[in-house]
Amino acid sequence: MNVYRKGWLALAALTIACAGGDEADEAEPTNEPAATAPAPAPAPAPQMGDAEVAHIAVTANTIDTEAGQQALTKASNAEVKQFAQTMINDHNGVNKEAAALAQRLGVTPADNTTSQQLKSDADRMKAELATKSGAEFDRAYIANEVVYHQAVLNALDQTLIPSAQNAELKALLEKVRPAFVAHLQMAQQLQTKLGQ
Amino acid sequence: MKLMVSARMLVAACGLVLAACARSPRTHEVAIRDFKFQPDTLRVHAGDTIVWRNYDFVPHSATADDRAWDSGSIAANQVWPRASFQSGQHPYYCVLHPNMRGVLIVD
Repeated sequence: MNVYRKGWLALAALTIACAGGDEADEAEPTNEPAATAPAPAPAPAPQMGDAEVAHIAVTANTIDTEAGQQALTKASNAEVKQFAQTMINDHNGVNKEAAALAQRLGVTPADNTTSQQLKSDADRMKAELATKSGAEFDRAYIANEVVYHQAVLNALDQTLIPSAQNAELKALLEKVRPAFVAHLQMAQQLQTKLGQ
Repeated sequence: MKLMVSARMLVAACGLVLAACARSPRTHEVAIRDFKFQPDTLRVHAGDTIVWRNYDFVPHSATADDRAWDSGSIAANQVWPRASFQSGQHPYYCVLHPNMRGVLIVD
């Protein structure tokens, strides 16, 4: 396993834990008419509250802001530095909006085991990146950004957006999603440029 | 005499109609939303004003590929208006998110 994949197991685990378990979802499709009218599918039960969803989203943004700050001081490639600055600007912008929404809704983001795991994984990654320099750091940082943004996108799609109950929180998460898509594409293109 | 007056009035009326039909400069908006320029292709006339309005949470730019014009950073909820475009095709992008691309066509 790629060492940079390990750091975001918490997000992957969150996605799997919340999305799995329903065997009916995996049934083979059939053209046979149903003997009886099927009962309407129940809405999936929320796996976590809005306060937890908000905390995970804020934590994910903060982690990438801090990773960008580390990259600004250690990266050697100008495009990697520019990417890091964009990550700082964008994720700060998202968190500013999230904080304003939380205040408006009277929701206090609640710390939870997923957020804690994300934070400890990020700290470990930061320490590992600190041992690298030059082109090796650039490649390692960007490789981590690719994996990280993909993991956050999966979590947004499969867990965080479906779990959000408040319409404004859900809308905020949906509005944030294109940022992660754009960042993932940028990181992948940089990764190709830098070579592995 | 009467005929001459009528002809003059007709000429004057045509002039007024033509003046009314002459195209006055317009303002067009390009929305920057969900990390896209919307519309991504915009056709305008020389002299028109284009306003880029950033609806995202994060800063963006509208920058000509050849750097002939550059908005600089357009902060969230801010606009950048510009009118002085030369005729031709102007492909542009966001410096901060280079996958965001648009084309301005000036007739």
